[in-house]
Amino acid sequence: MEPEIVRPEQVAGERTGRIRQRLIDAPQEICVERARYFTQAMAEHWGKHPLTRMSLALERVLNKMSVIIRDDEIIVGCRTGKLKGAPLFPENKTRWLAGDVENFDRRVVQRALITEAEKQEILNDVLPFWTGRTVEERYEELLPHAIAEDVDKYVFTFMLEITYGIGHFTMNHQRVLASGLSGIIDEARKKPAALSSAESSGDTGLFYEAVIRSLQAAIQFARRYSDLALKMARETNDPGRKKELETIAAVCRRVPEYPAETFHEAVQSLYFIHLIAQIESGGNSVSLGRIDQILYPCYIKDRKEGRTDPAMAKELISLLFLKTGEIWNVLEEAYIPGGEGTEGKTTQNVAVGGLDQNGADATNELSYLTLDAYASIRTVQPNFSVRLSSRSPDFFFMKVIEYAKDGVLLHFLNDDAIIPSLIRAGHTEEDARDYGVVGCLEPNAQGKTFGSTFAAQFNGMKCLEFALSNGVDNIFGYTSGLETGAPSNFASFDDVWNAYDCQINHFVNQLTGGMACLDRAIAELVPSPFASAMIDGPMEKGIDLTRGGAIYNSTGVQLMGFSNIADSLYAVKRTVFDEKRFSLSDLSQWLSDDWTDAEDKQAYLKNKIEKYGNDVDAVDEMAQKVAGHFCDVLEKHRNFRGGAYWPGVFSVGFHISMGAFTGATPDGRCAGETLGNGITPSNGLAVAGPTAIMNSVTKLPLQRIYNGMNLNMRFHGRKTRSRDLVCLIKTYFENGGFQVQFNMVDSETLRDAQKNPEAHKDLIVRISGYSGIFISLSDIAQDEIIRRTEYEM
Amino acid sequence: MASGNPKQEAAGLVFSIQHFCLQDGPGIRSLVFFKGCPLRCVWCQNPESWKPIPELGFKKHLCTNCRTCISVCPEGAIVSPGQIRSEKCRQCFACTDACPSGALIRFGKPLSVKEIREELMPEYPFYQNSGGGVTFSGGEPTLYPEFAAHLAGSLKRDGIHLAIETCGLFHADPDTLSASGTITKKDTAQTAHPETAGRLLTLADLVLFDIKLFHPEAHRQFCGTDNRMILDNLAMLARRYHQKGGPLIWPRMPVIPGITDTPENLEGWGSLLAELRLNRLTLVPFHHLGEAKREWLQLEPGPCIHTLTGESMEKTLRVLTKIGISCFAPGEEDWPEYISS
Ligand code: SF4
Ligand code: SF4
Repeated sequence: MEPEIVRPEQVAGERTGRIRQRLIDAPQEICVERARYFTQAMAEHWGKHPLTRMSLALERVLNKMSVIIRDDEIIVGCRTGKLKGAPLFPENKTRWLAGDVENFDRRVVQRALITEAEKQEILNDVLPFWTGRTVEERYEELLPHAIAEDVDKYVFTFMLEITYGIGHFTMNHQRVLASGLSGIIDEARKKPAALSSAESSGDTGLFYEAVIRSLQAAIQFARRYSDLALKMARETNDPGRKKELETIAAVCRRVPEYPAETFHEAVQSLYFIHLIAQIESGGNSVSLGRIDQILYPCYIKDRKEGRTDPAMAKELISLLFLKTGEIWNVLEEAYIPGGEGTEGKTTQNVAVGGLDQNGADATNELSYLTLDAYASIRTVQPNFSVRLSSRSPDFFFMKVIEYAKDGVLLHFLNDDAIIPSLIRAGHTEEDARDYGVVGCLEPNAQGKTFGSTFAAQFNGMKCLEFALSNGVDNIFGYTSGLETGAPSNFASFDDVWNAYDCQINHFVNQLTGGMACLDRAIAELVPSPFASAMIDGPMEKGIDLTRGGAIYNSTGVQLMGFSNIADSLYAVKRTVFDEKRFSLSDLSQWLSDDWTDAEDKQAYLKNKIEKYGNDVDAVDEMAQKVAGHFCDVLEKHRNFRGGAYWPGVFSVGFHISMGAFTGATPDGRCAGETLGNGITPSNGLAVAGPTAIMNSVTKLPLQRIYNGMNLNMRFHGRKTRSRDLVCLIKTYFENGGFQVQFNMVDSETLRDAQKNPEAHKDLIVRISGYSGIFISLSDIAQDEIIRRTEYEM
Repeated sequence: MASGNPKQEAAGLVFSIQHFCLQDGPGIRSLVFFKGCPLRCVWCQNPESWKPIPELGFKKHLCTNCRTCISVCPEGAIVSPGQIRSEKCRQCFACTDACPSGALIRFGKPLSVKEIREELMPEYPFYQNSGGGVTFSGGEPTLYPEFAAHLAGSLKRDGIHLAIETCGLFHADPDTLSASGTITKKDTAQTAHPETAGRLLTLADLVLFDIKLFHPEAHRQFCGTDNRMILDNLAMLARRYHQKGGPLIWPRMPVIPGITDTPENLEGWGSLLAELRLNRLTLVPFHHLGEAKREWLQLEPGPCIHTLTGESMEKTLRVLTKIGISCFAPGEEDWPEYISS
């Protein structure tokens, strides 16, 4: 039996289709509401403990902000007063706002509408209060001078975390569905009784108090929706809509306060929690988790009691997904050219399929329905992950492949490789099996982890640049790295490697030092009592998430330029030391001159030296060494919350932005060109096809790359037999592959989209693991996507 | 192994090995392209496969005029970039190794069985999971009967499904074909008319048999030789197949507008195939991809061939279907289950 697939055209006339179109057509806007109420409350309560004032500020925002129920909606809850509104989080960083406010509605990428009155309100009422009080300023105060010097060298960045906070977690939704927030409040009330009087009047006591206040505010927020729905029900003349509004009113009266009794209640409860966590703080990638598992008990109950059917369930899930599409964060203009999509990457992940805690296949009816629901809307959010294992049903495999071929953006994750890797990283077996996926593709224990998975991006290629230039930055021409010796004195490849090792170690030290200051500033100023009650650990320990309350506390650092480092080191080893074709000082000079008058040398290095991604052992061994080394270096460090640093090799758009500040490289790349994307081989250099790429990848020490990796492949969807794609993935997974995503769009479509953006408003492509609207990408990012090796069949 | 046995050709001349091919047999496959072909079809899309010797190619558009090739040539055979005096060239390929841009390229490299097998082995899991395998293509694999048979034997011992794509022009003795693979005559690799290909063909699981022009004269006109031997071989292989003594025979026809898709040609082949009870046919649509390659090899441009239209393809399908032949696009065949090893 061929799996059936669903397309947006099929729901065009329906409720989901109408809401989808409204969402696609809505302009992006800035909304001042959150910043307004948050700042007002903070100004009143600044003298209080940070936990107390954070919960008071959240309470104020939830009580005051607009509540809106739009036409056709069944699942409700808004993050701002505008359909696609970006709230502001001035408590984290304000300086950029002062500069960008005037420009929001004028800039080219990530343009966002804003009224004149809102501009004035931000400038006059919001920003002045925050001067000297933001996380950014506290972080700068904490940052030792010796680290501060290295922060602006394009080697590493924590830009996202400075602007919006940590984010990047899944929550324990099952607990809310089973006991309601009232159950958690009861728990929080009981805790202080067991504490000593010093504890209960100290931080621990204040923590529980803040949790209770935040959860009560959340219940109150849902009641405002219930009240609004009732009012609208009274006012409407449409009997059908009246009934729907009454149901909404009843549902929002019950959840999230009480356990969810129906599937509708479960979906609404889950969305409220998901939404409020993203009103409390602005961190990206707050993720839904394994919703086919989370919602399953309520679904089965409803089915048994005849309250729902697959079509109704699918609609509710589609509506939930459409809600996630309203959530976006506006970025500082200076950071956007990093391949950023207009939509602001609140990469809200959702995962289906995979094993259960006992190791049995957990794929269920909702896994299929959830896939269909997503395929029927195909919007930028959520970011969709499919967990697969050797036990996944064949039919499920075929279904996801049919969708991938049809252009639905799916991430395939291999349980059989990821679970052992998470165990190795310190998870219990049950927790490893029950991993959720955060953000782009980062796996960790669902509802138990505060893993800051996209904390820092680290440009390892820049470190190699310094190693081959005695510390000189080849873009700017002055010394930025360590002086690890003149290349002319390097007698063997080991000398090159040692210099590289020194540079990497130095900058990783600086990164972790800086990260500790930032995490401390966040913990001091912007704790998250609401989210702390939604993740296992803080409630038990009485410690906020930001201070290490969660059960698992890692920090992810992504290596950028992986393929370039491997290819470059291999090229140096072979041409300089093995074949003695070039001298290292000549090569170093060519790099510093960006190949001027050495174009034939550049071409030789680019075209004639084997590259990672072609299943050539000699160069793949170098890639292996580079990956293993990065893991070794990070392993030595601990983060502020007492957790480990987890290596990741995926890049979102940072391989583009960091590439722009990376000089010429011995693999034949010119200064400023983009770097390799995640563990994907460099653009156009993997010429032996997808099986060879996969074979190269599975030679790497993938098991140690706990924070995840991205392999991105493009296919001409229609020309590929589904069965063969299934076999391709299965074999890659049997060989130990972790993750793969396919882009099935053909290049003609993309070129056409460049020429006629209006006609392709809903064309979504993946950029290293997160989905973006193609036409909103920068020209560089668009060109890259087109250039990326296509495997013609 | 290969080089240790003087009776076998030490190496086969191969111009490319490609992985993840989905259109030349079932499943995920690798293609081994042998260099050398007895035919000269005017529409040929792989003219680099014609001569059974290594060749130099020159991609003018890539040349940066750096003159490295001139300075490295030990024979002084290169007059100016791309201009090579063939009488002086000893085919040492120092120039292609040194050419930084990839403008000067080498077609054809003798590879041993061991080398080819090492290149294929990492792909085995992909074949095994997909019911795929290896396809010998070309050029004409039967030009290297001993070497190809040796490679085939080694792949079969590894349990790999093997397909052979052939133009059909080879001397095959039906007795050898049915025998368990003893070779009766000494083969020579570099003649246009190879001798027995028997053992090679008994080792294959699938033979993709290319058919072009039905009328011997037309065949001579467009492909350079007459087709009697091809027709005989097709009939002989079909017979063996039906008697369960040989591999599955699956004909494929390039659809060349105005040449192979004429009603007479289609009807001729259609009736023969029906008579031979080979009622499935893959139609390979014509592309203009070979033209650039002719330029690289400094060959005369081929005749002007029109672009294939959907309409004429429809017509072709109608003619063949009427005769009872089921037609498939490459990669969309309904391979019988049993050939998946
Ligand atoms: S193959 Fe050798 S002899 Fe022939 S042109 Fe090239 S370098 Fe000269
Ligand atoms: S070495 Fe290559 S690029 Fe240079 S002149 Fe010769 S053919 Fe042209």
